[in-house]
Formats: sequence, structure tokens, C-alpha cells
Amino acid sequence: MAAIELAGIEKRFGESHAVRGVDLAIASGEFVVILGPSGCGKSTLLRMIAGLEAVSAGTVSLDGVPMNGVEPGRRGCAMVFQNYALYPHMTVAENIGYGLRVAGVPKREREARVRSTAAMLDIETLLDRRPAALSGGQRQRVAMGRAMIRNPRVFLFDEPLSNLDAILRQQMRGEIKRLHRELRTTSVFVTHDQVEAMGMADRLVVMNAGRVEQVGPPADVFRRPASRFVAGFIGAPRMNLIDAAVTAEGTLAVGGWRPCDGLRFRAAAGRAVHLGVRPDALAPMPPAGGGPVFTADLVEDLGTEIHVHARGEGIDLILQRHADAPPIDTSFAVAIPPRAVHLFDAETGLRIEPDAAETLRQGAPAWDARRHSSI
Amino acid sequence: MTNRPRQLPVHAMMIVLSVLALFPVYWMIVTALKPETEIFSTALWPKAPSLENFGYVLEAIPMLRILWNTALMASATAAAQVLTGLLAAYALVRWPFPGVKLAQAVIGLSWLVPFQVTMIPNYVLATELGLRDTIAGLVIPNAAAAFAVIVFYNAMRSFPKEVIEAARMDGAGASRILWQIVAPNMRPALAALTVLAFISAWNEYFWPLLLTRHIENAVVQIGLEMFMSQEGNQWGPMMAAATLASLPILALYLVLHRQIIDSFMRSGLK
Ligand SMILES: Nc1ncnc2c1ncn2[C@@H]1O[C@H](COP(=O)(O)OP(=O)(O)O)[C@@H](O)[C@H]1O
Ligand SMILES: [Mg+2]
Repeated sequence: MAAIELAGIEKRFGESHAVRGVDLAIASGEFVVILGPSGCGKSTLLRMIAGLEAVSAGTVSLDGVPMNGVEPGRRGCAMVFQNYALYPHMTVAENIGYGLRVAGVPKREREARVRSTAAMLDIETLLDRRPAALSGGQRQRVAMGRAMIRNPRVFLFDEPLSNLDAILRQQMRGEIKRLHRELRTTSVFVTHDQVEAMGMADRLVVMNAGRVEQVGPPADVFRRPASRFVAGFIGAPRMNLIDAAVTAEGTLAVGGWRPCDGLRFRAAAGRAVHLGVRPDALAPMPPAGGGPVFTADLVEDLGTEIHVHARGEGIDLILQRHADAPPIDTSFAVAIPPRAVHLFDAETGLRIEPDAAETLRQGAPAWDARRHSSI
Repeated sequence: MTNRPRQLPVHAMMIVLSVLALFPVYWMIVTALKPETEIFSTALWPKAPSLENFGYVLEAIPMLRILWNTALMASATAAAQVLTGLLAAYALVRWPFPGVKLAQAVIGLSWLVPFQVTMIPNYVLATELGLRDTIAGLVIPNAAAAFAVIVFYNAMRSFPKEVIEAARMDGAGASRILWQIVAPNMRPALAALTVLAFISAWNEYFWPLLLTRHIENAVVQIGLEMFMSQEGNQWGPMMAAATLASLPILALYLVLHRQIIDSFMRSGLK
């Protein structure tokens, strides 16, 4: 178990700038998930922690000891690769025990440790097989065993579940978390799958284009996304993002529409912003007043929930409704509960918080978005 | 199975080709078995087959000694080419440096340099080093081969990088990774290259001709030459010696033929 500290980490591959200044401290025993779209530099960051890739700038430290220039095998990190990367010519037992063999552990002890590791992963019956004779899920377990056997200080996972089918993926997700509860080894888990990320992380690191966008517990990242990118990336269906402007009074204007009039923002008048609302926070209501009228043009019934894709006056929206909610009219207006509003600067993409004092003075209702959505 | 009628012409063609390929070998053996009187007969089997040609060969030249020399020379050459090829290819794949493409091109081009160009400098060097009339002198100029580097380079490039990285995470160093992880997965390429290098060394003629002074230090191709003369060739003994010279190659092929076919099939499918 070790604390990891990344300070000013950069990585360039010739012209391309894969990682652009990452500072991150991971506490000992923590399970951190790095989430981001494909190509954003997650693997590169992980490989720099492992030592498989040299940093272009910055320092990687484990327990306060700088690791730059230390060989991967001497950092005490173990890695599980996306395509498992088992040694094709070795049996499962030899695969799992190879690290111990390199370390010069005597054969007898090695065999005992291989057996007990295999027992933890339920693969004792496979020890004499070669990787080619294993299923994807079994290979995954062998790869886990190979990582576990040396009691590493840090586990690094690079999208280890993405080659598995949905059921197996869910099962392995549970198993990895169970192992983490038992072993308490500091873990860094890279994925592009937000469900995986939200479900597994103690702390979530959202990356985009080589930078960290936001760090925090998954629930916080979901409830208060720090940037438009995070808002759009996390949550399914995606958060609705509507082009809007801040008025002279600090309210929001979408064309002639003044949604959530009670909210006040301290931003320059005319400032272009994106108004974000999660699909489950939008409530349809009969068309009345000045708001735009939306027409549902696609209704997806997913069994547990219904997604309504609607458009009106150039705005596309998705509404998420409970499966047992009354059917929606073909034409409707929407109410945006003030508590459900996320506002982002159109230029910087950063979150703008409502001006709490000003909002209160205007007597905006303290509307609970979650309660509201379940109407 | 389902289109048996269409396979018939294919099989007929393969049989014809096989006969064409095998006939010279058959003729060599038959000629070796012919007594002097029958040597120019075109009968498919001698009237009075005998082993007298083989006896003559063993008396006229130290044939067993020569076969031993050749086996030693060919094994050492093949081993050296495999070793240097593995090391060079591994370095090129794992530590690509600026200009690695150029280095590869140069290695590839060296394959095209004809023997006649390097023959004289090699001869002078071998003489200076006192390697004339030695097995080492025959092996060292052929210890590294561009062909071997290229074959291993291609085989290693398609070897998954993550597996090497997994071994690095397991603490293995560069040479351990080569011998314990990479090389064991190169079996088809290793087998094919060993055989090709061995056979080509076995068939070497000019370089041994230049270097050899005494018949006890000769290799088989030089031995065969002993039965050619201005007054005419001794066909019977020559074919007997050629038969003896082919046996080890045949044995090698029988031992490794599965890997060889495997490897050729794979490179053909790429
Ligand atoms: N060895 C490399 N050489 C050149 N570019 C690379 C290399 N590895 C990664 N990159 C580039 O760096 C960026 C980040 O890659 P990566 O870390 O693999 O992304 P992710 O794992 O988030 O999908 C990508 O644009 C990729 O093309
Ligand atoms: Mg990746």
C-alpha cells in the first residue's frame, strides 16, 4: 500500500501532447478511477505511474519517494492490461508465478503462493492450462492473479474489463471491489465506461484532452460537474445543454424565454452560457406562458425508464421519465426546477454557481430537483 | 470434401510436380548403386546394384571426417546466425532509435551484396588472423546474416508489446525477456531459420574452396569435387558421396519438418 503523488506530469510524443500537466494525490488504500473519452491520455498517465513510459516533465512519487527513472519492476506496482497480456507459452501457474521466479523465490514457496492466489480467484483447476485454452473471463482472472501474487504496493488497471461481455463485466467489477476491500491495496483503475467508473470509484478523476477536469467522489462529480465537459460526459442519457445568455439582472435568457426566473447569476450581462439540466429533472407541463413548445419526436421505452426526445424552437431536449409515469402529450412546455440548473460559461466551459444571497432575496422556491422529477 | 471432382486436377498437378522434384534425388541414388559398366545406362534400376561406389568413396577421401567437419561448420553457422539475428532484431524492435529505418534498410541491402565483392577482403583478413584451413574461418564470415535479422525482426514486431511490458512489470530485465518471453514464442521462425541457415552453410562451396588447404579440413562440397577431373568425372563415386552428403540434411528435415511447414504457411498467409 502506497500513496501516489503526481506533480506537474506532462507527456509528449513528438508533436502530440498526450498529458498536459496533471497534479494528483492518491491516498494509500484508495480506489481511484480515471475516467475519460478514448485518447484523452488515461493509459499514458497510468503507464507513467507504472514506469513503462518516461515522463516528459513532472514527478511521480510513491510514498514520497520520487520514482522517475526507476525501472517498472522495482516500483512495486502491478498492472492488469486490457488484453490481459499473458505469456502465451507458459501455463497459468507459470504465468502467475513468473514475477516470483524473476525475484528468485524458491520453487516450493512459489508453488504454494501460486496455489493460494489461484484459490482466491477460483482458478485452481486451470493451473496447468495455457492461455490459449482459456475463456476471456478466465484470462482476466489469471491476469489478476499475476498482479496480486507479488503483494504490490499499487494496482494499476488499464480498462481490464472492456473485452468482457456485459454480465461477466459486472461480475468482475464486483470481484475487483471485493478484492480491494480485502487487500486494501492502493488502486488506480482506468476506464472510459462511466457506469464502471461511478460504481467502483472511491474517488473519480475525470480527464479530457490530457488534463484533469474534475476530481471528487462520484456522487459529487455527478451532482456538481465542474465543467461543461464533465456535465456532458457523466450521466446517461446526457445532460441537456441549452445555449443561453445572462441578462442585465443576472437571470437566464434563452431567446425570449426566461426559464427559472428566480435564479440570479453574477456574470456580465450578455455573457454566453450553457444551461444544463439532467433529463430526469425536466418536467413536462401544458403549454402556457411564453416558453417554447416542444414536440416529442422519439419515445424510447427502456422498460425501467422512458426517454423522450423532443424539439421546439431550435432546442433539442431529452426527458427521462419513470416507466409508470402518465404518457406525455405530443406538445408540451417544460419547467426547469432552479435546483436542477447547472450553468457553464460558453467560453471557458467552467461552472458558474448561482448567486445564493441574490437568489434568496428574490424568493426563489427551494425546489428539490430529485423529488420534482419523480412526479 | 464436397468438391472432390474439382480437386482431382489439383492433385494430378501436385503429383507431377513431386515427381519432377524427386526424380533427380532418385537418379542420384540409383547412379550411386550402379557399377562402372552401367554408369551411362538409362534404365530406371541397375541390373546389378552394388555398394562398391560407397566403399570407394570412403577409401579415396576421409569422407566421415569431412562429413563431421561439415556438420560442425553448418551447425556453428546456423547457431551463430540465429543468435546474432535474435539479438539484432530484439534491439531494433525494443529500442527504436532515430534512423532505425535507415539501419534496417542498410541491413537489408547487405543481403544483396554478392559474395564476390567481400571474398577478397575476407580472404585477406582470414589469412592475417591465421584462420585458413580452419572451421572457424569458414564460420565467422557467415556468423551474421541480414536474412536472419529480417526474419526475426518481422516475427518480433508482431509479438504483442503488452506481453513484454507485463514481463517488465514482473521485474524481468532486457535479456531475461528475450530468452524467457520472446524467443520461446518464436519457435516457427527459429526452426525455419535454423534449417535454412544450416542447409545453405552445408552447400557452401566457394568460400571453403578458397580457404581449405588439406582434405582432412575440407567440407563435403570440396569432397565431391575430388571425383571431378580433367580426364572425366567419376560419376558413380561422386553420386555415392553426394548421397552421403544429403543424408544429414534429410534427417534434419524429418526432425523439424512440422515446424518448417508451419512457419512457411504462416509467412505465406500474412
Ligand atoms: N507511443 C505513442 N506514440 C505516439 N502517440 C501516442 C503513444 N501513446 C499514446 N499516444 C497518443 O497519446 C494520446 C493519449 O493516448 P492514451 O493515453 O492511450 O489514451 P487513452 O488511454 O485515454 O485512450 C493519444 O492521442 C495517442 O494517440
Ligand atoms: Mg487507453
